[in-house]
Amino acid sequence: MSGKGRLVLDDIVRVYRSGGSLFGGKTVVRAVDGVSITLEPGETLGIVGESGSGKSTLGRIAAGIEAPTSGHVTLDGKPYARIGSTAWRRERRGVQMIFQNPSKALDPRMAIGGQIEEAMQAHGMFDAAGRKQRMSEMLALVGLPGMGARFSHQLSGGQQQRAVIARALVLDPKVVICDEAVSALDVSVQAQIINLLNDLKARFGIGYLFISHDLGVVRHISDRIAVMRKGVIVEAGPAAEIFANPQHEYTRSLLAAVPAATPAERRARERLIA
Amino acid sequence: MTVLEADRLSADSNRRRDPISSRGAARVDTVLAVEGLTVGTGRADLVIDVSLDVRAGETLCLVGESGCGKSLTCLAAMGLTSEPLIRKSGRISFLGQDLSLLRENQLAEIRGRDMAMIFQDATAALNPVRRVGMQIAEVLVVHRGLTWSQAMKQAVELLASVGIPDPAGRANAYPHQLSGGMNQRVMIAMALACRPKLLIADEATTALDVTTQAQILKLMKELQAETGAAMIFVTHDLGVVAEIADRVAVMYSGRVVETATVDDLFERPLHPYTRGLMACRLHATTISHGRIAAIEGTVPSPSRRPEGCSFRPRCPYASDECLALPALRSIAGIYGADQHRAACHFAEDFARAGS
Repeated sequence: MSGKGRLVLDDIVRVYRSGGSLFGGKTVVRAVDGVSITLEPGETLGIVGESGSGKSTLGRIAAGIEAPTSGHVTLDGKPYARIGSTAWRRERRGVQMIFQNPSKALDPRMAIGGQIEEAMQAHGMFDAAGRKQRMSEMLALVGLPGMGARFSHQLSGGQQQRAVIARALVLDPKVVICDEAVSALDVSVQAQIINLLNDLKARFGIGYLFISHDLGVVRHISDRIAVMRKGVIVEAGPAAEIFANPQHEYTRSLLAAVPAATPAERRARERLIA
Repeated sequence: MTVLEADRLSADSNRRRDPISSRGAARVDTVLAVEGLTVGTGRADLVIDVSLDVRAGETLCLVGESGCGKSLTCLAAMGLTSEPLIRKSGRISFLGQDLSLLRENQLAEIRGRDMAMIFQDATAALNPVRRVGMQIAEVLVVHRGLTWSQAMKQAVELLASVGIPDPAGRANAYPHQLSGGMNQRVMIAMALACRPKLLIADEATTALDVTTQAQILKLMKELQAETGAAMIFVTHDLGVVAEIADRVAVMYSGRVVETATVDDLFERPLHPYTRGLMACRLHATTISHGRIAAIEGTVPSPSRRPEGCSFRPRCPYASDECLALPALRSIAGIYGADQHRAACHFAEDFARAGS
C-alpha cells in the first residue's frame, strides 16, 4: 500500500441521541466533542481516560467503522470513503483494529489459520498457496508457530490475542487501533503482548492508536499521550512530560489516584497528606 | 459513625444466641484460619494444600493470575463450594469454630452476618428489579430481625456511611440507575450492614476507574479501622496490594508459593514467580524503556501440571532439583523470617543475595 500512514482527525464530533418518545425529551450525549489529533507514521499515540470519556468512540471513528457527526478523518491526506462503500472496504486494509476481548474477536468455529487466510482473501491478497505461506509466517512471527489448525477455545487468552494481532497485521496495515488490547490479560501475559506489539512496530513501522484506562501500560508503550475527559482532549504531549509535569487538573487527579508502587511510597504519600 | 457504633452494642447482645460466639468470652484474635485446604473436581485439584489465616483488623491480600485458585479459596472459606467442586481435605475455622461441623442453616446464618463477600461486578451481583435500599434492608431483616421500617432507616444511614450523596434518594434507585462505583458502594454497605467479623473482597475494585478505585480503597480502610473487621482482598494488581495489604499470600497454580508482610514482599520477593510479577508490572510513576521483563509461557492447566514445582517451565532459575515439589517454609537467615515463607528450593539463595 502506498503512503506512510499519517492519520489526521480534524475537529471530530460524535453525538448520540436517544429517547424522545413517550417518556419525554430526547437526551443528547456528545461522546466526542471536537477532537483534533494527528497520529504520525510509526508513532504510538496513547489515549487515556475514564470509562465514558469517549475514547472508544474516538477509536472507532479513527478506524473508520463509525462515522463522525461532523469533522473529517484522513489517512495520508485522503478522507475516508462512505461507510459500506466498495472504496471504504478497500481502505480498511490500511487501518486495523484490536479489541479487548480476543475470544469474542475470533470465530469459534474456524481454525485461526483459516481466519487469517480469509482476511487476506477478502482483500484479494496472493493466491491460495501464497496466503497459506504468509499465514504460517505471520503465526510464527507472533509466537504461535505451526498453530494454524487450532481453534480459539484451544488457546489461552494471551495466545488468542496473538492470533488476533496476526490476523490484523497480515494485511500490512499502516495504522492499528488498539482498544484496551491488553486490559483483559494477566500481568505476565500483558507484558508479553506489549513486547510483541513493540517488536512488530519496530519491524513494520506501524502506527498505534493505543486506547487504555491503564496509565502504567499507556506510559510504557506510548510516544505521545492524549488525556480525554467527557469527549474532549484536556491535555496532550510527550509521554514522559505528561507524567512528570501534568498541566491539567484532571490529569493530575488521575495520576494522584494511581495506587502506590510500593508500601513505602504509600506511607510517604500518607505522611504528605497528614 | 453513629449507626455502626450503635450496632456494635445491639449486635453484641444479639450474638449470645449464636453458635459461634457461644464460646463465651474467650476472644479469638484469629478470625479465619484455613489449614491444608484442597478443593477440586473429580479430575483435578484446583486449590492444593492452602493454609492461610487472618486476624481482626488485618488485611490479607491474595495475589495471583487468573485461574490460580484465589477466588475458589475464598468461596471454600465461606462454605460456598458445591458440585462438581469438592472440598477434599483441610480445615476451615472461623472464630475458632470448625465450619465443617456446622449445618447448612447455621452456615447460612453466619454468612452475610459474620462473614460477607464483595464481588468484582457489583451491578451483576445486585438484584436488578429491586431498589438498592430494599436490598440492604433485607439483610438486616433476615439476620437481625429488624422490622422493614427500622431496616430501611438503617439502610439509608449505611448508604450515607459509604459516602453516597443524597442517601435517602438513592435508596429508592434501581442498580441500573447508579454508576459502577455507586453500585460497589451499595455492595459494601450491604456487606457491612451486620458488621461482619470477616469481609472478603474478590477483585472488588478491578472494574472501576482509578479515581473511583482510590475512593473505594480509602473507604474500605476507614471502615475497617472503625469496625476492626478482618479483610481478605483478592486482587491481581500489585498496586492495590501496596495500597491496602498488611500481609500478602501469592498463589500460583493452586498453591500458595509465598507469604510475607507487605513490606517484606516488595523489598525481598523470594519466589521467582513473585519476582517476575514485580518485574513485569508497569507503573505510572516509574519510567520504563524498551522490553518489559515478561514471564514467558502461561499458567499450566490444573489437569496438566508439570511434575514438581508448577512454575518450573516458566522459571529462569529452574534446575533438576525443581522436579521435587518445594515445600512452603520459613526462610532462615533474614529479618522477620517467621513471617516470610516461600516455596522455592532457591529461596535461601535469593534471601542471601538480596540482603
